[in-house]
Amino acid sequence: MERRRRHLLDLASLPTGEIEHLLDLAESFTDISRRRIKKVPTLRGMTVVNLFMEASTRTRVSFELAAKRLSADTLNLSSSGSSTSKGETLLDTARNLGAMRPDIIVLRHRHSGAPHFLSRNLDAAIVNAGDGWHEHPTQGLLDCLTIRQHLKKIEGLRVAIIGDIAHSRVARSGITALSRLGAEVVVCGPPTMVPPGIETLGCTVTFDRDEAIADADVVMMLRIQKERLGEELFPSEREYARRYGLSRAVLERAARPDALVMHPGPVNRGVELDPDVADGPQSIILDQVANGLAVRMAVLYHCAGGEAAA
Amino acid sequence: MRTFIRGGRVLCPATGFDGTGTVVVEGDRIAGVHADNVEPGPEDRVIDARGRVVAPGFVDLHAHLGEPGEEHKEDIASGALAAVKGGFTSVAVASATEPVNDARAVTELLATRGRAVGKARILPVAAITRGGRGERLTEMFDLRDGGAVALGDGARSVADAGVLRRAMEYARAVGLPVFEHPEDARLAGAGVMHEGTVSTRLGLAGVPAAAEDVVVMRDLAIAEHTGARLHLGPVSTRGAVRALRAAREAGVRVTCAVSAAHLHLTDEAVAEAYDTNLRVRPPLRPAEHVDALRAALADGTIDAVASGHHPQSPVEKQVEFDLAEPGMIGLELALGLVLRLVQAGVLTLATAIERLSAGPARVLGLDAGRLAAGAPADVVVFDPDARVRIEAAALASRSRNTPFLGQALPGKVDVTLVGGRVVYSAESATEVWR
Amino acid sequence: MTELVERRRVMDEAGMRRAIRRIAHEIVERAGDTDRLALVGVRTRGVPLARRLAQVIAEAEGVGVPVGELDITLYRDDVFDGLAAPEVRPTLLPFEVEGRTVVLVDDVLYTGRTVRAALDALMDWGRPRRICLAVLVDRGHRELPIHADFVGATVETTRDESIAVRLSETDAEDAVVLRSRPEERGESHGT
Repeated sequence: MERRRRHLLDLASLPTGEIEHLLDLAESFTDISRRRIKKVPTLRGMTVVNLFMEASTRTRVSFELAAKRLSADTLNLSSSGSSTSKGETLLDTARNLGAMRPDIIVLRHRHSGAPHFLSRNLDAAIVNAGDGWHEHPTQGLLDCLTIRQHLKKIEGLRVAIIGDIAHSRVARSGITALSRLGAEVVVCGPPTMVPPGIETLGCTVTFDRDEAIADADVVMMLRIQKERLGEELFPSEREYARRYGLSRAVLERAARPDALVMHPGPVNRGVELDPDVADGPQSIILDQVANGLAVRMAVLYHCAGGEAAA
Repeated sequence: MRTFIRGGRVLCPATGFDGTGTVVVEGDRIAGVHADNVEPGPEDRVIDARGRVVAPGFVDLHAHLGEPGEEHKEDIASGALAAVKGGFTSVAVASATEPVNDARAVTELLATRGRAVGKARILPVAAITRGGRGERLTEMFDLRDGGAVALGDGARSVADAGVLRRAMEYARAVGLPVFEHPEDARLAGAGVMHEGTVSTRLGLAGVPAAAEDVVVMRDLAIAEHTGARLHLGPVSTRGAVRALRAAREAGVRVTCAVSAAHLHLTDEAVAEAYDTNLRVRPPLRPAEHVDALRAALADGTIDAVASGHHPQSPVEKQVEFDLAEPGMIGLELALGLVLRLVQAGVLTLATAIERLSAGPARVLGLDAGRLAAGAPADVVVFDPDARVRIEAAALASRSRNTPFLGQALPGKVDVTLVGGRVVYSAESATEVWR
Repeated sequence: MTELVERRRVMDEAGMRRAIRRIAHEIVERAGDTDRLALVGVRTRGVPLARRLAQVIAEAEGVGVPVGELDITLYRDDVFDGLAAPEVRPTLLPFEVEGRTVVLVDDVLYTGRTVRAALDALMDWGRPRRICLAVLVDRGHRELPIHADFVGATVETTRDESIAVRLSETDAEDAVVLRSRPEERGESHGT
């Protein structure tokens, strides 16, 4: 039997069983960060390249630490420069990297589908660390893991995802994974930010925040990108915060007292999320960060193993 | 010396001739089409067309041939060869060259190069505004005198309705049709595929169908107002078809074309692997639009099938989907794609040929697309039952940007005549004597 | 893969009970001070064995010795030799490793590679005062300089043979059986 590279390009194409497997695997990896020596020798001799073509300190640091805790050699390549000098950038970078024979390439890229493109042009296993508006698979997994840890299950839970759904890879991965695991997902945002056919990913849509969070077990707030103001997606931050933001008052009025609040970070405090909610007792944002590390270790381990060629 | 094309099924939708017969060519014209067997003289050349269809040469309304400016993708020589290999004897070339074909010098260059290459007839479509920028009118009379057959700003529409109105009014006196590629640039935004469920799933910016519909409706209104000859194409939406039908009924002078690939591919195809060969303008639409286009083609609301030939090199295509230049090649694929519709029962063979020949000829007011005494001897002989596998190495086009690589398409062109000359003959072609 | 055939019973239920009882007593005797003692089972079958040892010690000495569960997958030197990355289960050590006498418990001692991985894994949790090894069966064929401190039974085997430890917790019976391929030759199997 021949070994084939195992990529993680998106959650949409991942069988539900593998999503569950990765979550279980991640659970097993959580203890490593609690040991005296926070490192296992598993990926010794392997090279993990963190290719970040879009600035993202958090995700890069999380992947880097994950690789290091598995004893892989890590290489960080960043180029936040707008890759408008079309063509050569990604393909050339890919070929140059390929010559160094990395085992895994973790790619963050501003264009949807870039990891798929890379997987066709390189021998390494490709891990998608966020591509355009498409997917952010490890974020989707860590969101599921965090919810599962707190509520002991995902099936049957009601999860509200609120914000700019259209331009959010976090939303797409989250909807996909949560709905596959049996959660009832409702997305909410102004119609300018809810893309057509999002229901096909496995969610319902409402434009009313209070309706979305009523009876929700989990309220997941998405980051508003302020640069989108110029696109007339919403009239002002003020109005957005009032209609679609989450404040203490809204949470107390419209949500269940035990509803959990999540956010992929970094938070625009006072826009989509008020500081007293972000830091409040219902927030599990920091657990998300901690779980990010375990999930990324699990994913690197999983991809390092390869799979039987069909 | 005359040329006798004998033994084939002569199918000319323009004249209604359909049956075994002989097409006799003398010089650059057709001398006659005969249902009975006509014996050639000893000096005459004979093309054995038994088992083949003999049809008027195809006329393409929408092609980019790269020259001048992007010869690494295509030039007149490679493009005109690809054309005759696909059965096209005339090719209208979009004005979006580099520099833009907005001056007689460029128009004449295209026409001259076309004649020098001596394959398909190269028919320049000149820009209707300078630089194709949609602001100031071009010298349309001069462009016409230099050989332009139509006026249009390449793969874009004139954004300013006021400018378009003046352009259409002026074009009436010039006597050329106005070609509009209907897409509202602001509604299209940064879109790279059809806006819908698939673009949502893939996280790609979408072009709503409305971006095409609003321009179609606007253009139809301006055409009605100005009385200009408007040609819309390539169209891709159900809304465009609906608006066209209504305008036709109201007596608006409008014609319309669809590119062959848009009659088959849907936006779902993009989902498979972000294949940049599927990045095209207009974008591939969902099945309900494709169905509407097919029906409109069958009932004549759509006059013509164009190749939509738009070559791109790997530099433009081996990139992220967002960054890829739009376009796919089509000259060597259009016949096969149209014949697939015949196989699927969407079109009769006669209608299929009409939409490739007489239909587009009518759009341009061209003396082409018919097999009749006195007509230019532009003829294609093809085997509708043969299947051809699309292989990169076998393409005459310099570019290989097509999602159909590796697929087998029906229809194989054996011989193409332009102006009475055999400009293409397949290696395995039925024998050609002398 | 060829189905292995059972050749012989090395240990039955009573034999296993006796072996565990004996090992438990030896552990207590050797350790002296049960305060700082901990039993760590190597997944999978080392874990129930460790629990049984703890139970015997509790019954005999009236002290509760903590039991941990160690997953050594991430420390294996052949982790990616298969086609897919193997399952990783959590490691649970509900006590401080630092300064303790830790008895690693496994079902079969064979090449010694599992024990090597377990030693590395354990050390990453802290610095024990001493580590001992208890196994139910020692079947020989060591590839590393490792030996067991407490052994239930030593069994002569060839590399072709396999020793299967079955525990009621996981396999519905208590027994140790020696198995081999139906034909005489073949690759080596075992843990």
